[in-house]
Amino acid sequence: MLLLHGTADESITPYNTVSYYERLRARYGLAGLTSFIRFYLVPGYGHYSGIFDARWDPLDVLDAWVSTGRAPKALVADDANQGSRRSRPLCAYPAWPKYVGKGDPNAAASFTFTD
Amino acid sequence: MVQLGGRFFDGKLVTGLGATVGARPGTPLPLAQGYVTLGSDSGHRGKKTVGDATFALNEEALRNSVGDQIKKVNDVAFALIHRRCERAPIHSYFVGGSQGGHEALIAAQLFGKDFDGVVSVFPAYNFTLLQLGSNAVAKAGYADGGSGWLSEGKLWQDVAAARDSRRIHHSVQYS
Repeated sequence: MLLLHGTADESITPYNTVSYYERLRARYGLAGLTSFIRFYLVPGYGHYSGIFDARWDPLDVLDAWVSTGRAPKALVADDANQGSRRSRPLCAYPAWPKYVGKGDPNAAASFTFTD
Repeated sequence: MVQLGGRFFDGKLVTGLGATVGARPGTPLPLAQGYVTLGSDSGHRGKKTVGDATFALNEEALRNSVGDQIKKVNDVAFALIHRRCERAPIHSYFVGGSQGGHEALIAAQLFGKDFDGVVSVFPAYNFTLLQLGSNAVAKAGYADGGSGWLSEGKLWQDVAAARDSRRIHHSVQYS
């Protein structure tokens, strides 16, 4: 299962999904849970839009996971807003993308995963 | 094959012809990628009134809307694929956002054997309590003559103060 929610969702609070994920973690344990689920909490993504309109081709990601048995790693989301060239890593919750302090702040490569 | 979710009260038909939530603008539609695509009307005919839930007076329509439609539509698709292609689909997926994301969770939880994988984006699960939660937020905003309301100016002041105190990179914090 791929699960994703934006921190700027104006319709459904992302804490609803965080709460769901935490209950799953309590039930399955971290190792059990991560064997079948990846949850991404995306800064700036709203409800189908947002200041960071995250596009990440989830059907392709899911199909690759199911077909190869290898869980997704190092995913990048692109911002679909007009004229934007921003990209950010998709960090598996509870990690979040942290700017490394140098380099292009619009490029996913300038961010690390931080717990 | 991939089932696309998304409708609920309004009973509109998800045709399966559109893009999936989160797809990049240039990515070919699932149909063009070779998927059998399917969707449903959530198991009842729509009414024009927003939020009209009278369909739920019918037991089967109610059960459809809270999950059964997902299994029924998938079963029909399996049968049609068998009849047409004389084999089962390679994989069966469910993808949806909002109520469609909620349906993706239902697909995984109640009908796990029918799906090899699901994508759930900003799921509208726990729908009733979710709405009540929004009421609680509104009450807090209006309470005491709106004194708890955080103005945009005050918000930026606080953000700027936090940024200065933590030396967070300006373009990142504001972007």
